[in-house]
Amino acid sequence: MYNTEQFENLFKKYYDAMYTMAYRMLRDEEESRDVVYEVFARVLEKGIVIQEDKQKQYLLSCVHNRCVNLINRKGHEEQLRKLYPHEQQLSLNPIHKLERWERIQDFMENDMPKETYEIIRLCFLEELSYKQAAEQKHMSVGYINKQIVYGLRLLRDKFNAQKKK
Amino acid sequence: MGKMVTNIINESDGQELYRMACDVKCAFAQPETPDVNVEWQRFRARYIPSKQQSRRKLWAIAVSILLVVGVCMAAIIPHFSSWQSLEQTSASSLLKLDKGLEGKATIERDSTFVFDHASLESILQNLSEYYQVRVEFKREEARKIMLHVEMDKSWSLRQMVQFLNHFDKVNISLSQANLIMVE
Repeated sequence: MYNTEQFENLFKKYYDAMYTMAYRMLRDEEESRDVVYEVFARVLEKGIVIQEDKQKQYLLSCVHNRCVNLINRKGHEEQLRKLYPHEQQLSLNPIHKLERWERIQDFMENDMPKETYEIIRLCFLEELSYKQAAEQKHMSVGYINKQIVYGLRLLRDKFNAQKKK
Repeated sequence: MGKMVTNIINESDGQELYRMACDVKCAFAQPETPDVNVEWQRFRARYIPSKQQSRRKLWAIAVSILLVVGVCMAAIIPHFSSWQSLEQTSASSLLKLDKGLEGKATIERDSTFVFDHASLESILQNLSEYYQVRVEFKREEARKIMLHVEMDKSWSLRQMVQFLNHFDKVNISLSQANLIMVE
């Protein structure tokens, strides 16, 4: 069991990563904070001591699993609509997953054609519908669709191929 | 968004693209960097009872225990003392019981019967219990005679009767061994 000082250090060391993990999955500040708090509260309550070199992986896994449970409790419609990553690569190490998202973000911002990036940003981040995005960009809905699929293929080829290496 | 998802899933490599879309969505969702210290304070307030709080809790528990004990003592001690006096003089407790009925019979000293504005009936009632004798009233009105008397418990029954007979309206006789007659 951790004493208060050790626990405080553990909390402060990993809070950021855990919160980021939860937020990327849930996209809700309150929910994400609660998930992270609950993970820490469980460690405290059960008197769990995590192996020194496994701390990050363990804590992130806990956060990840809690988020998946939360997402699974939401309706299928909402899961589809909000594109929750509920079924993807459960076996993937959550640390790698977190890094993967960061790399994707980085790639989109720097290496993707600006137009494709802009359209993807509108639809995924700002959650505009195809129609709204088309109106805003003065483009056809079909073109928007094409651009998004193009962007996703680009990412898939880069990141899924990389994974196979 | 829903329409897009359907479009993607319908494509041949839809599943893979859908997963990619999920990843893209997650990649975009970058939170503002949380203030770890603030979060720690908040977490601690929610999940770790502070020393001050636990001390306060201890105090609360101690105070409530004292309160309960106090109430119990308050409830028990009067009984306790009455038991004591019952052991000392059975008459005194009888008088106390009588007090409930008459409201006037009291005991000041353990060795003395004190009847303060008590009816003759209640006085004789107590005496009959104290001396184990029966009481009979020939004249019913005599029951209601109100008296203030103090009598030493060491007196014999005869002395008591003589003492009571000093009162004008009271006329008591010890007719037989165990009977007080009031005429």
